[in-house]
Amino acid sequence: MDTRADSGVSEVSIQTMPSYEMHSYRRKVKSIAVWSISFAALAFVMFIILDILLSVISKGVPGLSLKLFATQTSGIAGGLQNAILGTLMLIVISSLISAPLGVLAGIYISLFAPKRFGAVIRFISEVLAGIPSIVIGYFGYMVMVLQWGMGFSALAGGISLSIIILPYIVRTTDASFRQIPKSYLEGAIALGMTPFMATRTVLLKLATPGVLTGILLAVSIALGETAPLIYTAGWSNFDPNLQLIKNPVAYLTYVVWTYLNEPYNAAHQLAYTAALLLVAIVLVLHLLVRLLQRGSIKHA
Amino acid sequence: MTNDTVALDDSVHLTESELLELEAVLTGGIHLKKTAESAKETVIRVENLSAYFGHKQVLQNLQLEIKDQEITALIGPSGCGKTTFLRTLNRMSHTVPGFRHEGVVSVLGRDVSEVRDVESFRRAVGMLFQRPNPFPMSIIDNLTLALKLFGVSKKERIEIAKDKLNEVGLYEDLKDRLHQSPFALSGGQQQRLCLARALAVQPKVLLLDEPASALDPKSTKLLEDLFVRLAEHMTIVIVTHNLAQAKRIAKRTAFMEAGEIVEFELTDKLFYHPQDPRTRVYVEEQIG
Repeated sequence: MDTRADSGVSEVSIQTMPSYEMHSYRRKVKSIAVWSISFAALAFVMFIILDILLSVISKGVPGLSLKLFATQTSGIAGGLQNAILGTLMLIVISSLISAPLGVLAGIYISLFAPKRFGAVIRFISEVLAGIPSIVIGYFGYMVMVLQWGMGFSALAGGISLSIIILPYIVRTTDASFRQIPKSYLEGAIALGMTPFMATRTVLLKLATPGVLTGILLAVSIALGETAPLIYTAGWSNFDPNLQLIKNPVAYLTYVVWTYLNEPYNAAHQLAYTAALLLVAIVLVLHLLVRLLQRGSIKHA
Repeated sequence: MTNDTVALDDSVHLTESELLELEAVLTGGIHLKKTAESAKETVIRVENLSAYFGHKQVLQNLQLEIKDQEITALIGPSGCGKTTFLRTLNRMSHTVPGFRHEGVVSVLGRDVSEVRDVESFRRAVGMLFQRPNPFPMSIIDNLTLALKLFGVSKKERIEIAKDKLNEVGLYEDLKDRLHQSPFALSGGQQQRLCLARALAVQPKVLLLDEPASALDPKSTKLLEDLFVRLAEHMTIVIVTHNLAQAKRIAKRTAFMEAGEIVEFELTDKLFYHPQDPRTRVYVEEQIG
């Protein structure tokens, strides 16, 4: 009996040990394989980003000069002052329109809208975000440029951009208000504040970093748009002025898009430098976003 | 007392305990105590209260009266409707979509379903939550924000804030850091700050939703002492899972189960001589 018992025990150990080792061996191989694939994917993405950055920097930097910021484009050469100012103007117009609308809409659907209605608005907003920007450009052209008689103008371009970025602002505002624990709203309401007072004083304070982040990201999206502006903003060799309609306006992405197709070195140089400026502005915006987010973590 | 007069007319039907009570009334001892009791005003009167979230009934035919200058505890298993009931008293339940109630809930002489100016009603019926929820602003702003919105002058606001901090025993600790963030305070201090904030708008009724469940024993004791002191001039209703807490501070206790009030009695009586078997099981299991 004793020997039997002994052999039984050893049998068990012989049976389980190798399969256990096999498992851990297989697991190790799997783990290494998956890690390698992930790393390769990361390296690939990094390579693309670095390639873009390096080529934009190496080709764009030679064109940087004070003259670039101080003179307007003439023909295929000159500076980019008109395009830089035009881009800023379009950004300001589109933010002035979409930031208040988007933030208020986001607050409404996150805090006040009936559940189902909120879901419908969220869905519509998502669909709006998915519409190709050229379609919105075409819509702007038909409705604003032609029908409303705005002509190619800063206002038509700015409104088109604001339609494009509106859903992003709605979404980020909605998300940052929904993240706030209910206890803050309840605490404020229990003190006898109206929901509006509570939102304005307590909740807005908590949501501000998220909301600003959303607006900055939306601005960086607007910066990169070309298609809707071609249909609505036109192009001008002169600095923008306060005449918002029937007055075409220049912008940086137009320079990138058009001047690369010109058979002149000077034009190519302008295009690369404009691309460099766009990348630099987007980079600065994203750094700002990071700072804001760090600030919000400290606060909570 | 009306029962007693009826009983005198038809004394044959008196039970033994009623006779004993009658004797006591006649000899004066309990008589005096009882009149003192009934002189206390009923601040919260609930009649046939049923409440629903959508189609789900969460409260069934609640019936109780809560008197001024007393602490009333609501105990019962999780999900029995204690918190919903508490939040119905200051119309917080009504902010949840799909909530509706039937029956009469009268607080400070006003029927909650007919309150038009909800904001000033909620100022009169303050609330303290399970977890401390200071606002993301300085300690002093936490205390004065609501007052500022209601148009109280700055000088007065600061005075009230200091007064209330003093009342909750925080002033000495915090007087040099009034402009700092409340999030650096301990949980107990935060909860007392929230209490001071609730008191700053001068409520007459205070609703406490498991106010000490997230706190250590020492902070809990501090809060309980505060509640007892506050109850000298206001009405307090506390929801608690801590039966010892109810025993320590509550004059009366209601035991709820499955959306019903099973028993509502003087605390000692409810814990040591429960009438309903369900109460007995709950109370004894919790203690044993």
